[in-house]
Amino acid sequence: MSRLLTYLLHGFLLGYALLTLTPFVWAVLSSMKSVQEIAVGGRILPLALDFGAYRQILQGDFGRWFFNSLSVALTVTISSVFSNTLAAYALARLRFRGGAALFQTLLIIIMVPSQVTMIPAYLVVARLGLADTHLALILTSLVSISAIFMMRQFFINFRAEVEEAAKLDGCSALTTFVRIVLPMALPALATQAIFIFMGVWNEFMKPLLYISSVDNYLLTQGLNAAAKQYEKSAAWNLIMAGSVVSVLPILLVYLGLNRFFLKLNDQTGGGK
Amino acid sequence: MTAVVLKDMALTRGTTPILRGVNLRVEPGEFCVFVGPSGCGKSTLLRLIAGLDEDASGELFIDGAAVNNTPAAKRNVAMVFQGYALYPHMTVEANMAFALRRAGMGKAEIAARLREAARALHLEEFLQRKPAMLSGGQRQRVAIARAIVKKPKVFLFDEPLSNLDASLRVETRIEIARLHRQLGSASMLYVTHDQVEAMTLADKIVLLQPLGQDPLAQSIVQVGRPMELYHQPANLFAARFIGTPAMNLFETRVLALDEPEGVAFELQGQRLHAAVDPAGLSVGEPVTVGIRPEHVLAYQGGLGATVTHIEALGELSVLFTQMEGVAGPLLAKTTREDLRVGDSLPVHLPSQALHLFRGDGRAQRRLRARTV
Repeated sequence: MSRLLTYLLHGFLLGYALLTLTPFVWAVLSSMKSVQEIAVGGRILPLALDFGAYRQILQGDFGRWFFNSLSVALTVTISSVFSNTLAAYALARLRFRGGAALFQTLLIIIMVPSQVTMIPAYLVVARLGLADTHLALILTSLVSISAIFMMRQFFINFRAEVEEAAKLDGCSALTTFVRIVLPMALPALATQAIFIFMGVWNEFMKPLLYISSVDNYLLTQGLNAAAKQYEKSAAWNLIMAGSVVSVLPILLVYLGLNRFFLKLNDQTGGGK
Repeated sequence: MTAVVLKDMALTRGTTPILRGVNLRVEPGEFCVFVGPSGCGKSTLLRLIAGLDEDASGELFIDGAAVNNTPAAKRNVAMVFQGYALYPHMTVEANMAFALRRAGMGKAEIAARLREAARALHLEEFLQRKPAMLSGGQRQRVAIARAIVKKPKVFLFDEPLSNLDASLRVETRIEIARLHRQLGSASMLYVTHDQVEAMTLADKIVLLQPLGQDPLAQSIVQVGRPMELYHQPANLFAARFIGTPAMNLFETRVLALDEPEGVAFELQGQRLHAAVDPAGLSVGEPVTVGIRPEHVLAYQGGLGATVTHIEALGELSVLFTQMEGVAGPLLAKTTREDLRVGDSLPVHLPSQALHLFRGDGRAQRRLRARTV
């Protein structure tokens, strides 16, 4: 019975994986077909491995948009992980007046839908003269309350004995945080970084709101604009090539931080 | 030389009293064990001395200097935690050297101290490993080594053996006793709920109790050498806590005060005696009489008991017996292996082995108790 269950479970997981991968594989294969091949249809594999679509998109604005997205996503990820983690540690460990009230306020703010704050945030950004700049995107993404909440829970469950040992070894609160806590929190930091990077990289509404000039477009905006343009000429290979390249950074970030990510999941799953 | 002195220390969290009226002096080089049940504040007391909990009232002196407002790192104490508290991302060597490097010590001195501690605790071959690659016992040795390299005036141990299995616990206990002999002048303060550890390691035992709702209760029940606590428990709490299995206790009344064998009382219709000082007692006063299971003679005597349960421990057995007309069981230790549940036994409670406690729980001084 248990073997049958295992087979069923594996079968389900395999089906789920195929279902998830199929659109991506479809996009990769389509990106290597010619426009005619796609229009005629009837074949899964391309007649020849043609990377022309990739060459073509890299010659246009795509490269600039890619770089824009990458620089914004990296800046936001690094600065947001830094600020979220510091805030979470303070909320979890430091005793200060108003700490509990501050945390409750954050919890209330987390419940406010982003659509509600979108226009006021834009007005603030515009008055600061930051409309149509990447700084607008970065500044409005510096703090992630959900990440603060996640990290606070992590620090609350963190073994206080180790921090006390550091205190006895002559560490201040900041030194303990930097020298002892952060290295031990790498899995949580990596998880946070992956989520933040993915969030910024895939963000569409915010760039649409703040960025208006084509040169400052992020990749999601650029791909959207290009898709509209290429749809008219049915250049699906170009659209698919752009989509495939846009997924690569997320894949690389995930692969790079995967071992930490798995470690955290392992720990929260009742491991050590 | 270092003495740790606590004067009137008290701590309340919210409305819950944790510690009250703690007055204690730990002599230089002394091995002092805080023992008591869960919630008695023994670990809290250690943390107060370490400087990890700073909101207690009272005065704390280390080596003659008041340290109430001194940061933990400047108190010249080292602590070994129950969960080891090693830095998992550092090697054993880095763990041991961390505090010394933070203090700005020279490389040569650090290397010398590391060598010495690693040799003392047999850690030479593990220096480049990370804690995750060590067994529980090895991790605890690293935690002790990390304390030793600091050459502190006071060592603080917070239940350091409770995460180890039985055989490793004995091994590490012997190791700690050996270190105490070697380190000489440093005082060691050790928290445990295990009375075997307390009895075997301590020069001095401090027995603590949970404060509960009694506003007059004091945290410290008794301070003394291990065998003093065993032979001369100050009250019923100490009598119940020290000794495994716990002391047998029976409620009775005083029949006479000045008989040759001691204070007379009645049990199972027989007139028995407890060799205790009768000072302050009066005839007819309700008292509690106690005797340790190892002092009950379960092969002769005028009392009778029936075996209800036997726990065979190998070298001896613990008999659970019931005396007719007496509330509660009578436990006895015996080497006899021929007894079975349901057997009837003659029982004798020697007067010199008996303890007598008054209505408020205070013990009467024993007259011929052996003390070491």
